[in-house]
Amino acid sequence: MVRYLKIVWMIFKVSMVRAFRSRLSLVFGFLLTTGWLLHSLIATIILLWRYNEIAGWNRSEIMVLYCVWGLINGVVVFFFWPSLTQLSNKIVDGDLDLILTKPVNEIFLSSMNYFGFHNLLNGIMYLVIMFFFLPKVGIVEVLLFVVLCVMGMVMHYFLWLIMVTFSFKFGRLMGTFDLVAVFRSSGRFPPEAYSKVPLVYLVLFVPFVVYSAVPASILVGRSDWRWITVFMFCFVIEVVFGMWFWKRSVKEYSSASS
Amino acid sequence: MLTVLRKYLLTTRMGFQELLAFRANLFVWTIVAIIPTFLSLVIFRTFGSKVNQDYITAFFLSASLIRNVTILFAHDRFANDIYNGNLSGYLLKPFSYIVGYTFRLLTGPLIKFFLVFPFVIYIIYFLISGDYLPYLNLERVILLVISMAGGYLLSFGISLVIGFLVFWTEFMYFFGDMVVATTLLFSGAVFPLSIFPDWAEKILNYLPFRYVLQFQLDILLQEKVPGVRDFAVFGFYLVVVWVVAFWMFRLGVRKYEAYGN
Repeated sequence: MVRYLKIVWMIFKVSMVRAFRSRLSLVFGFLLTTGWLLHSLIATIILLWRYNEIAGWNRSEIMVLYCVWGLINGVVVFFFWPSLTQLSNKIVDGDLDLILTKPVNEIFLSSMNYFGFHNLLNGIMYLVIMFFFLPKVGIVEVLLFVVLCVMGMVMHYFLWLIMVTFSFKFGRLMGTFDLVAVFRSSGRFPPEAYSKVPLVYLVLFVPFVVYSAVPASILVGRSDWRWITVFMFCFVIEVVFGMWFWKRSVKEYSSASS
Repeated sequence: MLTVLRKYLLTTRMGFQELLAFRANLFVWTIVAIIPTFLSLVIFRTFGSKVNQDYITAFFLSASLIRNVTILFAHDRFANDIYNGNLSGYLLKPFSYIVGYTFRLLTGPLIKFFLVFPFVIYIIYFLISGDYLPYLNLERVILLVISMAGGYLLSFGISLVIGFLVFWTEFMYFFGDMVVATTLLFSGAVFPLSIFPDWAEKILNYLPFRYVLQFQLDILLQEKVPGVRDFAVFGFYLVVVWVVAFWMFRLGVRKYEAYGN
């Protein structure tokens, strides 16, 4: 565990040096993520201004959900996005060999070798906005929220990993991240909003819907044991399937152009 | 004339083959363009009687089809050609880079429709049989087709202008993404512009973004067809964007050094 923390710290330092080497890019990257934040923020505010509530959740509750969604995405994107976007290319080009031969867990090393700093700033901005809408919460709720939030981040990460792992079978999948990003946007709204969506589509949506809604529901006092159960179920399925799928694919991997 | 046209048709064929080679990705991108519209529809269904559900259903279903033709973000492509030095290859060829690409990228919407053809047919059948398009007539269909072609050209022109910024700054990629975000929000791709406050809607009606989606949807769904003034503004934006694109290209090529950035 200590060894892995040391590696994370080293990656952090190297990423920091790389990020500050081109400071203007960092600034523009930050402005870009802020621009997308504003895009979704304006859309959410206008919907709430016009209709007051969405699927029974009032303005403050929706804003908390929106911020939790942004926070989870910001943190996951900070840690994993730069590495996972390159992973598909590494698999196809045979560059994964270098990672597989190192004496570190290969999932860890292939998912985390460079951090995207501007995304962390973005996550922090969501956190700041959230404080304006947060009702009074007890320490137990906060602790539970933190635990569920981390689990939500893990779920989000595994959704990406599963999508990237398809590259072992289908080669370079350029649209994979766009697809995840699109499904991910469903997490900005409460799960109740999807109650009329046919089950077959809902199965696809569920992990994306619950990963931010369940932690947020704890903060706004709307926790529902049924959704928490669905959340836990999705968490276990995704982690187990994600790891199994990766290991199975690595076994079949035969270096470049496999 | 015929020889020139043949050249451009050949580039269309090249574009067709190029897209077919990446059909799996194209399919994913088509789905990517459709899903947000359906997501918006699902959310709007939760508002119940606060919104006109028939209108909103017709709006989002029609938007899911029309946006695949009219909303095009190709600025990265032009920027990459210039940034990586590939433009020199095109400059040596006896045809216009801009016109050639206009023909070449035209295949995108056509293949997208082909890939999700059963879905397109189902949506059209659903809208017509469910009486979701009460004002539909031949005149509107003709106006819709013309405005969709115009929307494609406007969207394409904006992509050219943004892409050509790379002649001067590599941070064009930032501006490109900002234009994507703005276009999606202010074109009606996220929700109808009538949802915005009145003052904002009035401003948005004068911006070019509505002409890549909301305008076409108004032709299809509103009782009153957009008037001559609306078409004039649309035409004005088209001319301005394309004149600026050609002007930027001319200026940019003069300082272009052909070995990449």
